Amino acid sequence: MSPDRYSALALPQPQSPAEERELLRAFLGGLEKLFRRQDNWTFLRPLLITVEHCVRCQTCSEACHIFTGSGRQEIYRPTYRSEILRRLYFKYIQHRRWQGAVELDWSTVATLAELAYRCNLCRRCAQACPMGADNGLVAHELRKLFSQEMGIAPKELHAAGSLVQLRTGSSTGMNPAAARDNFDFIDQEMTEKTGIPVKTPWDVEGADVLLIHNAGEVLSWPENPGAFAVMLTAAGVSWTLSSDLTAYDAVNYGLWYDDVQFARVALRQIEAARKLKVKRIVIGECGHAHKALTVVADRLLPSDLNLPRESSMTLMRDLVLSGRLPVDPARNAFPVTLHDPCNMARLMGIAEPQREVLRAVCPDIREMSPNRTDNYCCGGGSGFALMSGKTFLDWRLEIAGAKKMEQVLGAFAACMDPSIPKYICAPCSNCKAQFRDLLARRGLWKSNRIFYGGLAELVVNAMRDAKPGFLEWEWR
Amino acid sequence: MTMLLSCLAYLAGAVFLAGSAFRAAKYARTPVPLRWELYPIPPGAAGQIRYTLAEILLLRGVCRHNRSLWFRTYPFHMGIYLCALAVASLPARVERFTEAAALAGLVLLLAGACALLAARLFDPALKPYTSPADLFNLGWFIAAAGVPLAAFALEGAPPASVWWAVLTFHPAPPLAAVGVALAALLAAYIPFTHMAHFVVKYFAYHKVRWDRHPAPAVAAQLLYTPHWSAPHVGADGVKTWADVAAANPPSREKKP
Repeated sequence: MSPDRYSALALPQPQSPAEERELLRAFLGGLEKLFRRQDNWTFLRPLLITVEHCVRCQTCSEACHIFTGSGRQEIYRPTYRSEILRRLYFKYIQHRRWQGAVELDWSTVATLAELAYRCNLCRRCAQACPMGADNGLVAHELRKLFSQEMGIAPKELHAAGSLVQLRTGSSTGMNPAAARDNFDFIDQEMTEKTGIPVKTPWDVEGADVLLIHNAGEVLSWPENPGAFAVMLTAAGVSWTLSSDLTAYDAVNYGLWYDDVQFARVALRQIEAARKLKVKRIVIGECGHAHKALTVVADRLLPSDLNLPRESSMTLMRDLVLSGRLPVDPARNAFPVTLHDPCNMARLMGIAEPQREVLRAVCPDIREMSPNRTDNYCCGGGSGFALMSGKTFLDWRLEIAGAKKMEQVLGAFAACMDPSIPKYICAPCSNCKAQFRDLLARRGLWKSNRIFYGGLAELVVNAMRDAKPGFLEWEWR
Repeated sequence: MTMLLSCLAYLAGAVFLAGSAFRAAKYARTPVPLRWELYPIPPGAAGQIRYTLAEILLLRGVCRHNRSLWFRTYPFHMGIYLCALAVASLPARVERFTEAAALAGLVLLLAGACALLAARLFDPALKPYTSPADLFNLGWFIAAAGVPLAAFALEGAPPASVWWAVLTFHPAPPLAAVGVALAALLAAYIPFTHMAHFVVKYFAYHKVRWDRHPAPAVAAQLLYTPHWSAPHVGADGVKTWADVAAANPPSREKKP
């Protein structure tokens, strides 16, 4: 059962009244734990503030790209799922009746489970809330209830995601040996394309930088980790990758649905850095990995594990603006628009370093509106870019991605002619996956030559020391 | 009766302060959360104070994001501020100012509360989310503002003078006394409802969305014992949060 015609979880309907009773019992158990300090110390404070003090004034509604992108369907209003949870909280945890009617049955549970996955957790709604309530957090906490108590989570995030990462080292299933093989191949490609001899260093003790990529890049967009290898080699940076489990894959899907899985992955990534005695960790072009390891994991780390963590945006800025990577912006003489990944911009405040890089390497930048911390999510955030099951892909592209496409088309409105190639710079793996699917669904590469890619590729494309033509403008 | 009403007024004030302190303590005692900030964060203490003042005095967030509601809620909140200012200025004996503030405050409060009630009853975006408690609360505000104004019109009792009389243990006209009782009980009730957001906003902003500081208290929280039931968590009622985070999930999972 789903509140709309889409499904992220494909929950099976209970086959008997006893099964339904058991499901409701489990749900109520999870609800109780969500509001208990022993079980949910991680987010109890902001959750209580939201549930007890949201006045349902709907000020947040117009800030939500899913609500507006759906034609303002009520079930996508940021307060809709929160209101169900709020009423359940007052009825079953606080035992207060005057807070609105709600019935707890299979349909309510299934609705909440699905609606927890109709929010990108971009927290634009929270930004608009004068009260400080955070209805995006409510979706996050509901996902946790279902995962941590009932074992219910999208298979792309859990069974085929964080569990695989903890077991094999990467959510892609790529073990350390396969990762090394792939990087060897990327090194050869990069050397050939740029004329700069590249050899990715592995497990170098005492390196200045431990670089952690989203391993999905290696398989889907190898030119991105390749571009990093070219930049760091050319700039003479002391850097390394780690072949420890989870440390060559920056992703941390637990951030979206499960605090325990989140902590497990983050701790292992940091432990690998400590083992190598590197001076700092730099996170590649992956928004959620930025926030997971740099911000959300911060208080989990004891002082001996609290190593410096840095964004690849600031590293690239330092390399380009210091002159260590001489660039010729004329090589990027095409319109570029910059997408701000929510995790970097609104949730970490990183919005200028990538612009400083872009201004140095691109002569024709066309900003989307709004941008920076007020940006709109691409619609693939919080794991959605990985999820396509059943009809979920349609929802992700038609509803969640509608606002972003509107922004992209607005930015490129004056240059839609297909003779002009255009580039959406999305320095985040999830966002790139969403742009790939959005552009393909609307045929915008074929009809208007709108392409997408990362920031590192633009830098290498502009590097004077590299052979021209790094960007191939080939649709993948 | 005069004594009873005066005692009620003082008691209500005490309950308001104690209830607000209790609510603040409740949130202060909640565990320190993981970092969950939201940008832009106003730079420095001065920036944060400016942001907070604009939020309190102008309701800037609502003004920017929900203008139609702002026209309803701004008079409501300004009415409360003016009434509070009038009460606070009573000992200064600046009677004309106090009376003007009280009357303006009550009028704005009444208008704002009526406008908010109408929105709650008829606005299709608000109506489904309105609980009986919301209607009750707004109804109480309307009564607490409307009765003193009626007393002023019918009994010639200026509201600030009535409050001063009650606070100095002097009698008040009957309708005006009802108004004081309604306001006193409302003040005592507010801290125990979601309307105590004036306390909670401090925690929402300074202790969640603007808080980037290290939190040594988390070390103790890592020793809490989680009880989540999903098999991959591996909680057994004995393992601490730190133990669970350090362990690998079982290799083969079954649904609970």
